[in-house]
Amino acid sequence: MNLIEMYISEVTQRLPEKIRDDIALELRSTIEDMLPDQHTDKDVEEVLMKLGDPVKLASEYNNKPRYLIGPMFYESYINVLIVATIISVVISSLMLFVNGMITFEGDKSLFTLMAFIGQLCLKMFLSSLNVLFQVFFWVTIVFIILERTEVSNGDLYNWKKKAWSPSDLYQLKKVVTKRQIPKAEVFFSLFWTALWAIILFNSSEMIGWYEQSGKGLEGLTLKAPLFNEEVLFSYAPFIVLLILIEVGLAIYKFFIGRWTNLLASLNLIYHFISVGLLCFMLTDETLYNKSFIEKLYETVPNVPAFWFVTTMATIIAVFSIIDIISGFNKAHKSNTVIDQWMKNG
Amino acid sequence: MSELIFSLKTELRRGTLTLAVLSQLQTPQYGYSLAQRLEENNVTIDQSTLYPLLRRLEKQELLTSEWDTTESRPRKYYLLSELGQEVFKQLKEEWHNTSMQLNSML
Repeated sequence: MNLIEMYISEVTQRLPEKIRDDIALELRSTIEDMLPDQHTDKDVEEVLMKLGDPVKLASEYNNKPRYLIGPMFYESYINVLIVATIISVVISSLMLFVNGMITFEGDKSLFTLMAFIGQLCLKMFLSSLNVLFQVFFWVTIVFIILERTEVSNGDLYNWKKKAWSPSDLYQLKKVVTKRQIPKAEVFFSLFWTALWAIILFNSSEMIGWYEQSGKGLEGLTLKAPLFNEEVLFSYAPFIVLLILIEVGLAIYKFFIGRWTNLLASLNLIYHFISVGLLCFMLTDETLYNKSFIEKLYETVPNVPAFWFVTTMATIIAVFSIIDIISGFNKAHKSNTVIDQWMKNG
Repeated sequence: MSELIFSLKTELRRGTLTLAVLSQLQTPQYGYSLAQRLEENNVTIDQSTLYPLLRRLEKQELLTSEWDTTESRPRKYYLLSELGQEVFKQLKEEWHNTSMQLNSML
């Protein structure tokens, strides 16, 4: 094969089959046009030099994008990536946590609980990492396909948004930072829900009267649990309901991302239910384990009966009230700021 | 610095190349003859850019093409389509306006 044919095949082998022959023919005739009638190998080399790198020439013919995700899709790609990552990491972590809650065994001292939580955190971290790679991979694949299929740019813009107008600014929801709910707060409240649920449901083996019967922390043994397990579990439906409300509220907070009057009202309802349930449970004398009470009186006989019950209920009620008020306050503040801003704007 | 100038120049010229090519296709031309005509008019364009450009313009239906096999070697002739004529007219106007505006500023 001579130099010209080799050059042409270097170009065409990088092209789709359909257009190969046509381009080969055209290239051949062009190259011959460029050559003088009586030509030497040196002339051929010069001509080929003019046409340049066959790889580059082929890529010009191909005219395929030389990027994975172009400017048209980049923004939505990043957005989808972030949202998909957050949602899937949260869901997978939650599932692991709930699963851990259900399957938690062992002698269930505070000690093993700590080890268990550590292990669970590691598991959640690893699964999050795995989920992260999965999400990244699939989202990227989908966008590469979108980029390469002929979704016309105009269509995408029309589909994506109406023509922009300054009045859109009024609807901007992220401008006022005061009413924003930090994502960390949401994650913390989910974590907190899971934590207290674990401890409460395993309380018969974790919370109670401990006595030292050996050396060190491992010598601590639970002599009498605080709660009467049977009575506690009769409350289970209400507790589960409270957990669901808490999780639901946290997820709602996550998606709405800011304080509104509706959210503040829901927060109020949630606190009423939780404080109500708590007070009801705390004042239910059958809930407490008799041997725990006996041990308590043996050790500190002068303590007024259940003084800590009222103290605890009060503390919790005060915190709830503060949280309710701050919710409405934030919602209100954000409204007035927006109102002012709209007037001035 | 020189690299930046080079890339800015390339960017500036990119759109005008299409206009230059369209302007020379009022009569049928094959690849090399077009390259020569452009060269005669001092329009420098890489051959490796020109031939793929012709194909793209054909795909966009601005050009029509036809193989002429009557001569010693087959040649592919390109010619402005009707759409190409219209687009050329409008691009030409745009060019005149832009260069007038720029000239008054520069």
